[in-house]
Amino acid sequence: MIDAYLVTVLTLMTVWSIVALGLNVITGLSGQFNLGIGVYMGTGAYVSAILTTQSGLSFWEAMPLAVGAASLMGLLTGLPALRVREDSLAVLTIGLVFVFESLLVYLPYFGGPVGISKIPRVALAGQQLGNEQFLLLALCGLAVASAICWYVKNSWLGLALESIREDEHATSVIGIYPARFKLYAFAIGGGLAGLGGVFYAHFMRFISPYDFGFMPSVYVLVMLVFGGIGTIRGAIFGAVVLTAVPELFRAVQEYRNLVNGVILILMMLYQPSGLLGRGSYLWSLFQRMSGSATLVRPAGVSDAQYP
Amino acid sequence: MSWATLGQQFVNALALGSVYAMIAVGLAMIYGVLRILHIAHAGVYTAGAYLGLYFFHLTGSFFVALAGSMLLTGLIGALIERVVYRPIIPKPRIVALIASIGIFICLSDLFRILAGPYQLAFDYPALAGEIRFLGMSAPSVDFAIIAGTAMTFGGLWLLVQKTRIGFGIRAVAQDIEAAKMMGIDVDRSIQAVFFLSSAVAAFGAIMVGVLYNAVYPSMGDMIGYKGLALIVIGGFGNMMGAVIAAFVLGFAETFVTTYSDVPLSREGIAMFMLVLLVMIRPQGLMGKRA
Repeated sequence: MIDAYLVTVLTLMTVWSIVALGLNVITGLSGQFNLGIGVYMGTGAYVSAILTTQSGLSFWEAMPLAVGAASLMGLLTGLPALRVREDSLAVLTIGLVFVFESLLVYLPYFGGPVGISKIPRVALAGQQLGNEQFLLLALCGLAVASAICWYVKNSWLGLALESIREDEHATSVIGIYPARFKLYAFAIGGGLAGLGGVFYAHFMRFISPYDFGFMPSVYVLVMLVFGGIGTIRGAIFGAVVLTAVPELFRAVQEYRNLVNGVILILMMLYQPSGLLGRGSYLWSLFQRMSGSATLVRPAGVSDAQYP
Repeated sequence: MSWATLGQQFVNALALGSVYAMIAVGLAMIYGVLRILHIAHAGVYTAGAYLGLYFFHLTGSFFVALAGSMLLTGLIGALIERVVYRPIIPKPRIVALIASIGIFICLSDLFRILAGPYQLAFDYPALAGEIRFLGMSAPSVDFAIIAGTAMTFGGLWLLVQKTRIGFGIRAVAQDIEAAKMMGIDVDRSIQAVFFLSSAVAAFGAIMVGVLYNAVYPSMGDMIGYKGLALIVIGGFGNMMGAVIAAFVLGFAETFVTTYSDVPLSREGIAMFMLVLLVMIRPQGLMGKRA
């Protein structure tokens, strides 16, 4: 038996890891700025919450539908990414997250500003899952999400996405149609973030529009950047550490935003690829220690930096 | 709907557009020289309001408060450029964007810690009343905002078009490398841009503080995001385009919220319009098709 409080923190870490992995596919792999990951997380959470509280579906029936809806939302919001890029896209996604939040607040169907409460616990074989079993379930979700990310990164699709990130124009010249692959990235990333949202909704059992607004979206970006954007280990590491730190130090909890902001600035100034990102100090050290860095790069050539 | 209410709405819209324009013009200038989205401008704006309130309580003079806040806020802007942006600029684009978010988060939390999470009143009796004419009445702050904006923009235009430092700014905005080769002090020009934009933002923030009689930590957030969207719509780095977009938004927001019953908040409507505009004309109102 482990401490109930610890279980709560571990579950939150898992949930945020899944969402960060989703953002990693969109912003890390394919280089599309997105400051509105909350839209997809919120879609997943709200669809699942409404289906289970109002339509009487079980968690298991609602989850694929919710993830599908989040994925669809990814496709929809990916459409503007075909028309605008970089800075315009960043601004556009900020706009989208505000429209999303304001829609949820003003439509009574979504519970208005108070949100949706009494979201049922997950039941398996007629038995309600306790918090510890739920943690296991969420960890399974994280494993699936990591596997998807690993597959995407190491398949032809990942190659296409990374080449769009590095040079969109050159990519289209060699016959890869960037629009299609950008939409794939938004759909996959949206779906993953939606999965995180589903777990969030059924764990908190109460959701409000403000859980998925601009600030939560920025937190996810902070996690990703802190850990190492573009890598699976970085997304998970960032989510785990930045969920743990406010819990460990009460002083940090009080000044959470200040600490987050300072972390962002310092990371950008001194280690923009993240603590465990490609070519970062810690990761190179780890590779040297474990002897896995067999490839010796000629001096002056560094890993391709993001983006 | 009478002509009097229409006139009042017109004044309101003009004042709102002026406030947006003051933010957007600074963001456009900064984008013009550094090609970055200065999200932290929202935090700088809020700093202007707090500093203005502080000086107002300290001295009791509104004009000292304006001048002191504009000066100090300008220095804060220049400091941000010097400490954070200058080392980051050679790195990939997203680095500066994320650092900017970091500064923004830091600043807004600092205000909460230093001044408390609640609203502070900004009582300035001379501008608190309403002005009546032609059968209509509008807050006198509205007129102060419109007049102040006109004066600020006039000054800014003179500075950018007629002075040496303005010459440097225009050169850097056109081509930073060429400007460097022509012997223009690029760093000083960029510092000047940050100082000016931040000072203008502080002016807008104090006026808004008086208008709503409230200064609070997140007062800059919404207006900052809108400002960013406005410079996209205005055609990146195009000051004129940003100002026009700001007034379009001011009018659209005022009239849509007054004369329709869309089930969205004011901010939701504004953001929705901005998203639509960005999608329809990604190159901006004044921008050329790439």
